This record gives sequence, C-alpha cells and structure tokens, in this order.
Amino acid sequence: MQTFDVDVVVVGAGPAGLGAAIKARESGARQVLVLERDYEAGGILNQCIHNGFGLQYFSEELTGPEYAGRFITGAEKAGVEIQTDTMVLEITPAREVITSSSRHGLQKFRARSIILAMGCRERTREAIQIYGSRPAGIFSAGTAQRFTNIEGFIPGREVAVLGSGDIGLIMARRMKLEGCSVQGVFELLPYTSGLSRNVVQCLNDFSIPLYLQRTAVRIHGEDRLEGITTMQVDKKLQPQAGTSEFIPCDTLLLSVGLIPENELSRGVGVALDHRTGGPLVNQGRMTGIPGIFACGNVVQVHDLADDVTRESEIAGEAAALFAAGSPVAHREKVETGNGLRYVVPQNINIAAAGEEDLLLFMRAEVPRRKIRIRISQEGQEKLSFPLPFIKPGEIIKLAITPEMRTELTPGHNLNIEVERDKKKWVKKN
Amino acid sequence: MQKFDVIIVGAGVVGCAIARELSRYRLRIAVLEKEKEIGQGTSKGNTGLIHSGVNADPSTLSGRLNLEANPLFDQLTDELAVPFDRNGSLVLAFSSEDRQALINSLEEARTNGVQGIRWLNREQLLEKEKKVNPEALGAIYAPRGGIICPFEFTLALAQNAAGNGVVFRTGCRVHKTITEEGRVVGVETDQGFFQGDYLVNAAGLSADEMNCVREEGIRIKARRGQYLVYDRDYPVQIKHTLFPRPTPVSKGIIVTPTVHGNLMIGPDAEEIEDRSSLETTREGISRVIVGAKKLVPALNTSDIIRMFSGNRAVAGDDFIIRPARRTRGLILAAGIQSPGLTAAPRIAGLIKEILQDLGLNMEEKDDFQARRPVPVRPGNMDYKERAELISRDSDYGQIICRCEGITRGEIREAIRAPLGARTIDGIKRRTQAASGRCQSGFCGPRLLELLQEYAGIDPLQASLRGGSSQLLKYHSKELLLKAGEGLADI
Repeated sequence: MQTFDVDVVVVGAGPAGLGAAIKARESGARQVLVLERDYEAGGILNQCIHNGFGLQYFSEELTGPEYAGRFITGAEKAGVEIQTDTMVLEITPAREVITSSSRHGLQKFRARSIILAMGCRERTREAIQIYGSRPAGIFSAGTAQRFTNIEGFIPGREVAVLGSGDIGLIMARRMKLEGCSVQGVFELLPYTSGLSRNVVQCLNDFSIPLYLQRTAVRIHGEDRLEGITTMQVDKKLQPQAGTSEFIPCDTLLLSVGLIPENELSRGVGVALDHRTGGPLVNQGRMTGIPGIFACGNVVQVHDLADDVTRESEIAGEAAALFAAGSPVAHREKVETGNGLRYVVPQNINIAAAGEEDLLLFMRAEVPRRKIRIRISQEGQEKLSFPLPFIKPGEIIKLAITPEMRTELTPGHNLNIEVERDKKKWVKKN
Repeated sequence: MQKFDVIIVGAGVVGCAIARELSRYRLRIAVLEKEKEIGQGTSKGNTGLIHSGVNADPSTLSGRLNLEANPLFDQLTDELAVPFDRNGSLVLAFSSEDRQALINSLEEARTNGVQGIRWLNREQLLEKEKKVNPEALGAIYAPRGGIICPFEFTLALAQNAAGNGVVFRTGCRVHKTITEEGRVVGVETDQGFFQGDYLVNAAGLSADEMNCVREEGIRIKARRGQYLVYDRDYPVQIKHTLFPRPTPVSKGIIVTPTVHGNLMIGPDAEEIEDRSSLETTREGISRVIVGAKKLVPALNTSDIIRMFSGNRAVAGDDFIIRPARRTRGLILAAGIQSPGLTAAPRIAGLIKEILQDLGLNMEEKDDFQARRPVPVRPGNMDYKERAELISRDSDYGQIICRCEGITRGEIREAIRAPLGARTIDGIKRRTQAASGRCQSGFCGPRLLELLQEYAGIDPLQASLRGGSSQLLKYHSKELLLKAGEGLADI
C-alpha cells in the first residue's frame, strides 16, 4: 500500500468538501487532497438541476451543477487535488486515511488535519415503518432525482410524495414537469419540513395538493406499487379511524428526513451529538479529536448550499491553521434550552474568536411567532435576538459580533433558548 | 425434448439440497423453478437458524431430521464456503412452570443426542448474555444451535449441484404432471415438456398446485411470520439466539444475531389466505416487538433497517416426505415448515433413500466435487491481502455499495457466476449490496448499470425480483413526447 503525506485531507467533494479545500489552500495549507467516492466532484448538487442556489453566497441565482462548477473550477485554480472514484475505508485517530479505488488500489494518506465532508443520506421506508407489501416503485426522493436528472429515466407515471422535505417538494414539481400525474404531498406533521419558498414554487405554483397531518399507513401492490392507504393523524401523530383513503400510484417518493453520514466519524471515535446526528464541533468545526474537522451536512443538515459553503470555509481555515501548528482549543459549551432542537457549534472559545462574527446555527423544535432567542450565562441573560417567526424547516442563524461578545464572560457556558417576546413586538432587521 | 432421470420442482433450500445430494450419482437431474431466480420463496424469508434440536421430538419426522441434520453443518458449510456460526441458543424460562418444563426436557434432549446442553441459572444466564431480561429465571443453553444465511446456503447448494451437472431452469413454471398408466413420464412447463422418470415435488408454498399432489389430499396453508432487522451499529448487541419456551404450535418470537452482524427479531405466526402475500402489518410487527422485548427489554424501534414477512408452507403438523400413493414416480417433500432449513440436508438424504427404494439405480460419480469455489470478499481481508487482490483485479478496488462496502468485483461475480443474479434483490442476497442502512438509495442506480454491463439487462427491464417488478418505467421526456403526440391525457 502506497503511503503519502498531505497537509489536509478532505473526505467528500460536494459543496462542503470543495469549499473547505479551497479555503484551506487560501489559508496556507500546502497540499490539500479531496477524496470523492463518486465518478465526479460536485456531490449531490450535480443532480440538483433546479435553480435557487447561490442567492446568498454569490448574490445570484444558479442551478446546482452551476454552483458546484464554481467550486470545482475554484479548487483547480487554488491547486487542490481531487481524486474521484475513491472510497475512504477507514480513518485512524493518528490521522491516517486509507482508501480503495480501482485505479490506485489501496492508499494511505498521513494527514496533518482531516476534514470530514461526507454529507448526509435520506431516511428510508424502513426508518419510518410503513406497513404493507414490498413492491418496486418506492424510492427516496433523492434517488428518484438521480434517476431522472442524471441517468435519464422516469420511475413511473402516477406519483405520490410522502414527507415534505425540500427534495420531496422539488421532486414533486420535477415529476410534474416530466408529465407525471402527481397525486399530492403527504406530511405527518401540521407543518412542512421544507423551505417556505419551495412550498410556494414547487407545490402552489404547480397546483400540487399538500395534505398536512396525513400519512401513508399501508403499501399496496405485489410486484409494482399500486397505491397507498393514507390516514389523517391526530396531535399525537396517531392515525384516526374513518379517515383512510386509497391513493392510486405506481411511484412513491419518500422525503422523510436526512441523516448525516457519520460512519467514518464513528469509526475513528469522533463523539457525535444525538440531536444533530453529526459530530460535536467547536467554532472552527474541529471535532473532539484534535486535527479532525467536519463541515456541511455531516455536521448538521443544512437547508441551503450557501450555508454549507459558509460553514466549510470556517472548517477549511481552521484545518489549515491546525496543519500549520496553531490549533484552537474550545473553552465554553453552548447548550440548548426550551424551544430549540440543537445548536452548532456545540463548543466555542469566546476569547479566541478574533475579529470575525461567531455564527451560531440552530433549529427550532416547532413553528412559533414573535419570539426572542435568549443567550444567557450562569442564569443571567446576556444577549437577546427578537425574531418574527421560527420554524423547524428553516435554520436560524445568529451572528455574534465581536461587539456582542464583550457582553459574554469567557469560561462560562452559554445557554440558548426560545421565549415568547413579552414586549410589544417591533419589526426590525 | 429434454430427458432426465429426476426432475425436482422448486429451487428452494429443499430442492437445491436434494439436487446437490443427487448430483453425487450418475443421474441426469433437472431443477425447475417458476421464479426468475432460485430461493425466492420461504428460503429467502426465514430466521436463518440451524436448530440445536433441544426441543425436537424424535417421534416426528421433522424432529428426527432436525436432530440428524444439525451435526452435518460444520462439514457442509465448509465444503460450500457458506458462513455459519454455532453461536449457541438460549431457551428462556419466565415462570416456575417454564423452568420445570425446560429442565424436564433437558434429559430428554440428551437422550436424543443433543450435545453440550445444560441449564443456566439466572446469574449464569446474565453472565452469558448481558442484555437478557433479568426477570428470566434461567435458560437451557444449547451450544450447537447456529445461524446461517438461508439464501446463501440455498445458492451454494444450487451452484455446487450445477457444478456437478444438475440442470437448473428458472422462470419455468410447471403446469401439469404427465402420467402414463399411473406413472410419471414428465411435466409440462413454461419452457415446454421435460421428460423424467421421477419427479420430486419440493415446491414449498406451491406444492399443492400440481395436479398429482392435490390427488394425494395434501393442502398447503401459508403461515406468515413477520421480522424486523436492525442496523449493524444498533447499540443492543446479542450474541446468542434467544427463544421463549416453545408452544406446541411454534418456537415463538426470537431474538437473534444474523451471520451478517445485524440483530433480527421475529417471527410471529399467522395463517393467511393469500399465500403469495408478503405484507407486514401493524398488528404483526407489534406482536414481534412485544415478544422480543419480553426476552430483551432494551429493544426499541429505532435503527430498524428492514421489515419483512416470510411465509412457511404448512401441511398438517409434520413434514410430508414420502412416495405419492396414487402416482408412481412422484415423491413428495411437502409441508416443510420450521425446522426445514436445518433439516434440508437430511430431507435430501431421505429423498435419495426413497428413490433408491423405488428402484432408481444410484452409481456414485468419481468426479463429484464437494466444494464450491469460495466467493471473494475483500471486506474480510486485511489491507495487504486486499491490496494484492486489487492489483490482480482492479474491480475489487471500486466500492459500489458504501453502506456494506461491497465492490464492483463482488457484484460482477454475483452476476456472472452459475445461477447468477438477474435482479436487484438477487444481487442484494448474493453480496449484501443494498441491504444496509441506505437500502439502495445510493447504489441502486449503480446496480442497474452493472446489471446492464454484465448481464445485458436494459435498465427499463431491470427488476426488483422479476415478474412485473421493474424499477423504472420510462425514459426522460417519454411521457411528454407521448402527450405531444396526443397519446396520453396529461
């Protein structure tokens, strides 16, 4: 097995890996190698042929492949090496990365720092336990997207979508544009889990019905899917007798959640946060193992590629600094209280944050209006951010500026929670 | 016209075991299977246990064959290169009545020749299996109980039989047995007439669909069992196969590891009308969960990667293995419910003896090959060995299924090997590709490419499991073009 020494190894050439790799080079890393298991770089963006990417990061509207293309070109310009069709088998705590590929056989890369950017995968039918038969015609929305947009095949003609994640909403529209009849999007919860803009642009604009608090309880059809039974659910998500309806369809697309792909992280012993499904990271996106960083959907499932890019740049810079011998240790924990599912990063270092804004990503537990997000230390409120509304489908981003950080006491953990804004709520930006 | 000495109907574990056993002799043998691939019925959807025989009743055929067959598996799985683990089983007692009954059965089981069995008190039990319900009063420990992949075992038997000259025909449904003066002369099938002197019915759930079998008064009922399979990383890990105290009808809902390293729970037992139905139901799955939690309270429903059903063919209380009474030349191997997988090698032996008794001349071949080539599994190699393998054959370097780490080379061989995979499920069962936590979300498109590359199957024809289970229906824009031509009402 051939062995190579590299400053920074990045696992995954999606938007997270490419963004991190470019930034690592720009921040002084000498050799940056990106390992990609697919045939080409770009990750899942290659199959996201719809527009809406880059509005925040580039201030223009791009398709997925265009957005990825900018980073592929950027990586080339920055002198990043990308090895495609190469699968990482194992990462060791000594920061060795072992790969397998048909072209290079087994290789070992000894890295000064490693950035995990493996992205996420879709939850399956099994994960949500729909009863009934096991016919062909049931796909996760992303798999159907790959078949449709890359392989050139349409899975079927009468389509139902279960779950209202963004890929499901986008695929509902995509199937309609391909001439399929789309029976509807069925969502267990009383609200959608995708972005509001996708509900409007993918469903409303194409007259695709959205059924909230209704889910699939049974699959019909022996060889090929023939339909699903759907039922209305109550507040406890239990199906209600007398509400069942048969929806004929030959194709069922599942958009029922995404799970960060942390097999490699677990293998090397990186501690994970059960709330995000991703590694516990500090503000530089370093995991609990020194020199191993993570960014993008492997850390938390983002809504926007633009946010993935922002997070990956943080990780890229920190990984380059670590490779150069200046690691940043964290000191304070960020804990979530009432109303929030999680916050990233989970660990910070208030004193070492420098001149940059400290960006906190968090996800709401349930939709709420007119709230404020309260940051406290030792039970004392330190910062407060009023927001007109929050919903689980849209990530909350708070920038803690250097000025705001003077309010915080180094060495004390932060607690972040949602509370109703008691004062008369005044709109402000 | 194709002429055979013995025609075996059904390529499940029983039919394939018979084929392999008979392939030791100078005989022309055919196995006819109605499905697109072998092992698609009961043999793919069961618990995968090689029962110790601790609760076997030697006065029944199924009990006797279980006891006789268990010791055969070490040599058999070695010859056939099939992973097999005598992980040991534990039969748990939860009441003093259970305890007394199980302790009483120990002596009987020893008399029946079950080796190494002993009683464990609660402390010994919990030491052996930490996650077991601490309310259990004790258990029978049967170290010779084992686990196997039932599909791979079936495939290995078939491939070995094929290597020794047995002809296999898949997609070949038998419509009718043809007799002359009360004696079998052959069968009419989807693929024409097959002439044969002896006909062995090992058709599982479909056994009574053959005219001559119905005349024997045999009726098959389907008993459905539902199962749940957990992710390999599921935090509750169990080493042994755990049983409750058996009832006269069933061995109960069990908790077991599989040879692939997943935890599996099930089955319940429910007689159903539609024997082809493999539905899972809310009621059935909750029965399984309740039953399994009784043995291992820490189990929950997170990290489940698969739910499935399997149907067992039931014809009364026992196996029916005998010559037909009304049709000469027809031999029945029907109603092979649990412990059919365990008993299969001895069922095959019994069928051989019956054929001999009926006058079939059995002359041993001198070139019988008992061993099946060992499938190449890079994932089980150390890095040095693996690197050497890839330098010889680079297809073993490319990972296709990321969840299970399955390479292009393994899938290529699964397709190209004798009785090779022709469906997505076929690849899955042979290689474990697509059986992991993403359930083919990522590798599905790649598997279709490989079916096209190595078997010449057009992606629009590629199916999950044959029949009309095609995965993809149209080319991109095909529906729109049809609509444009006024052929579709969109």
